[in-house]
Amino acid sequence: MNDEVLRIKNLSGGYLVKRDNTLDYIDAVNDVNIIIKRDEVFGIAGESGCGKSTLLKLLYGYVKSPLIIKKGEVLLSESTNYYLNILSLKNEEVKKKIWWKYISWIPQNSMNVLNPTIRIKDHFLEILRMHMKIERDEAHKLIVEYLGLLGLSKDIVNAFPHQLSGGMRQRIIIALALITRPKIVLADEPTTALDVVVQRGILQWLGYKQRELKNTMIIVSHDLSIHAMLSKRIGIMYAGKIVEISRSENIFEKPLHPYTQLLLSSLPRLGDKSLRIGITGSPPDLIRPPLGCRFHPRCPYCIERCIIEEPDLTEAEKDHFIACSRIEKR
Amino acid sequence: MGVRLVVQGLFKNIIKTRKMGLKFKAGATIFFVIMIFGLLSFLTPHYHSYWYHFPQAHPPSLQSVDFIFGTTSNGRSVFWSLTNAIVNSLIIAVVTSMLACHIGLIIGILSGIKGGVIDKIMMFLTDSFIAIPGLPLTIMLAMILKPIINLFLLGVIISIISWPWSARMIRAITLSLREKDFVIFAKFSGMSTWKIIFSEIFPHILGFHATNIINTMLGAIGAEVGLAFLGLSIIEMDTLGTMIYWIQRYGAILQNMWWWVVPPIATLILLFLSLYLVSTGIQEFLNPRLRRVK
Amino acid sequence: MLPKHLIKYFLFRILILLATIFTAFTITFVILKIMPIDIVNNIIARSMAVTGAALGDPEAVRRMYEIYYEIFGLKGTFIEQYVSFLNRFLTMDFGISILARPATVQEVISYRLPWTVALLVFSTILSWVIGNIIGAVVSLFEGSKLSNILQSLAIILYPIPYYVFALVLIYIFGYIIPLFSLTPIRLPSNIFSLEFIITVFRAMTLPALSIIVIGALGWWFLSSRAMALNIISEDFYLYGEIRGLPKLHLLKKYLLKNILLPQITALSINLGTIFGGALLTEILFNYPGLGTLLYQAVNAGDYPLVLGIVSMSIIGVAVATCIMDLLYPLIDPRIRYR
Repeated sequence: MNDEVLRIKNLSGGYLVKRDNTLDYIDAVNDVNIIIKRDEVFGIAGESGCGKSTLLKLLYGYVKSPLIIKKGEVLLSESTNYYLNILSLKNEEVKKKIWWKYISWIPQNSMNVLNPTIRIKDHFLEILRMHMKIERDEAHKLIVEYLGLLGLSKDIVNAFPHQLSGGMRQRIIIALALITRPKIVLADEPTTALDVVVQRGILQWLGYKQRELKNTMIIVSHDLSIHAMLSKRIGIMYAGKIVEISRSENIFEKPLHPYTQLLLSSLPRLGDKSLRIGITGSPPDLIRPPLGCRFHPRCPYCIERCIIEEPDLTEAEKDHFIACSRIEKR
Repeated sequence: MGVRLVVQGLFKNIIKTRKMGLKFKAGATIFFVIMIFGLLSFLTPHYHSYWYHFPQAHPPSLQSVDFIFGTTSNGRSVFWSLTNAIVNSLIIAVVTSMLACHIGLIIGILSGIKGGVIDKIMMFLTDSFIAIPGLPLTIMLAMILKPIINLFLLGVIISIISWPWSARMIRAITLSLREKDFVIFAKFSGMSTWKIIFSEIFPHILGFHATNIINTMLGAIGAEVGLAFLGLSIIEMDTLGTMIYWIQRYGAILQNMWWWVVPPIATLILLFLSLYLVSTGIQEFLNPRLRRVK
Repeated sequence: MLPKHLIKYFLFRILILLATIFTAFTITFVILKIMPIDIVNNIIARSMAVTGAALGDPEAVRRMYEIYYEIFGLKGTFIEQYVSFLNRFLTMDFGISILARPATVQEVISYRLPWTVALLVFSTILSWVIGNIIGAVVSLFEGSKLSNILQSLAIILYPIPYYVFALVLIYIFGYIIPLFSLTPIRLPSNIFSLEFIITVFRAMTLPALSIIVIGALGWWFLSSRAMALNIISEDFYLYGEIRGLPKLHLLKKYLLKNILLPQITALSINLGTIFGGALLTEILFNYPGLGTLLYQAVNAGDYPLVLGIVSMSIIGVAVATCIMDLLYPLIDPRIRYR
């Protein structure tokens, strides 16, 4: 049985930025290959500015200047053995055929992602009318029912966004993403603006909904604790490249890539009182990324080969992929 | 002392036009050209004040400077009228802006800093002035004062309706500054209110004050023209307003005396444009976030 | 049923309205008091010159003096002066107009008022709507040629007062393309005839055009575009795009809805300026409204009529602003459901 939902093939993209009369290309996503399976939560982690949000935009087909696609395909498996390349579609087609039918989006919550001048129910109505072609009266009934199922009070359908708390707004946004039961849900730093307690509640709720609906979820976050809670598999991204992909227990228990190891060792752990070490140096300039392995200037185990050769993502152990020349050699 | 430093800094910045945007440069250039034109009025020949000294309604010709822009229906040189009009209109504008902006500055800062009852009373007064439609009030005043009108008095009359806007804006800026860390710090370190006003608040208002002066000048020039439409400007002097008043009176537009009609209207529009460009130029320079929005 | 806080707000706003009118009149009173010129002497002299009344009848002159002393609040003790002045301003009882005698000031004004109100309401609403919509639509094509042209045009138009622009229009339409007559209009007596409508239309077109061009393409265009550009970079707009909402829907519900609400406030603040500009524009086109009346009154030295128009404008603008402020919470859902 084919359990793939999304296959990302040699995907490269980035931003064209004009600065002082020269056109710079910011190499935000470089040659990414990932296969995402049905009913799984896939996490993408990395420092800010490593290209994870850009990768998510490309997956969604939301390509708008200055973002451009260099090469590659995002293949959506519609049925067995049939793939649709999202990036080959025109903007309007992606909008009509893909968004909210196959893929929906949970945006970064910055407290004002909802239109302040329309009611909560109008946000749902918009989606039902645009993507499901359901008419107003019927849609209205559906919305009340749906929010009841989600355990949200019916009164909020008539509320305006500013009347709700941050946590409530985030629940609404998640509900918006799930209302059409899409196969894939993309979440871009879904809980960053919330305080820790609310964040925990929302994440548990999100995980519970995913298990119930059995859809695929791709979560992008810099926060590894979110991935520890939700993600089944994790891809670690560094400077526009995927450096390690594996099941989350592998990533957390026996990380292979030096970058992942350093990232994890900078996290506090329960009962561990040793001094936390950060990663020295700063992420590279993506206009002129370093040659060879992009992590080599900061890598404590850097050897000559790392400077010359760009490592490929290879399967070092079963279901454990890593892009590091030292491991390849082993 | 702090004030002097800031004034110097501001001027240094303004002089460094390389840093200023295109708008400021364009505006300043147009204004400079108009000023040069106005300065020519110092060469006005004595016979300019007489009516019918020249042939009436003579189209432009190059026979002498007097005829460069032709003559009016009352036999005066359009060229000399225009040069004098520019200077006189600018004098009215400067008087108005100096009065209105500084009254606004003082009231705005005081009510922003003092707060409480003083603030409430002052703002109520300001709001009431804003609620009075400016033009009818100015017209009434100009009508009553017509027998003794002069450039300065006209400036005073126009500033009566101009100051409340400045006061409101300055107060808003002062209020936001009052909550800023550096002012609170100055207060806690025992600085007197006056010292805080001069060394901590005033410097930050100066940028707005400069643009406000220019905008008020713009408004004053417009108001003078408006009064002149009603014959309430200083009819016996050349101003941009009175030039238009005579054009209206003699029906110059319908007689297609373009050489008489175009110069004052074109000068007015260019003057408005240049002042507006300069003021937005300074605003964008002081607040770079505006540049994105243009 | 209105929520309690709204009723409270309405009552407070009406209180403010009364207070502003009262203060505005007081300010006028004080200004008239400190004038260095004997206004009444002026009026009597002008009035006699206009009407050609003989100086011989000292009784008539004495009575005229008395009437004007009362109108300008110069009769009796200070308190009496003030009270009678306020009374006359509020009731707009300024006696007989010198210009249009034997008609009273009230009669003259009430005859001209509908013209001014019609012109103002029509052109203000139209320019506000057009300017805001163009501004929002153009912001979607930021960087295009059309956007740049409109932006440059707006910068030129923005600082020009209506009445200066009106001169340009007169020159174009009065001389170069003589479509509209600029002579004073004469109304047909039958209000329901086609001729009446055509006359009104012809009288109104040019003054309305100068207000609409400057207002729409200058003022409202610039502010609406600036606001729209800000909203486009806001998260809720981007999220609307990400949800794949149709462009027209985004324009209506996301851009315009969020622009128009603050623009209503901007309109109510600027009513006074718009009103003054419109009065002067009327004069240039011989439009039979308050502005032209004011011009005639000034030229005839008709002080009672001028005072009447001043008091009319104060009350009119204050009431209009108040009405807009009262309507605002009914339009903005965020205030209604607080």
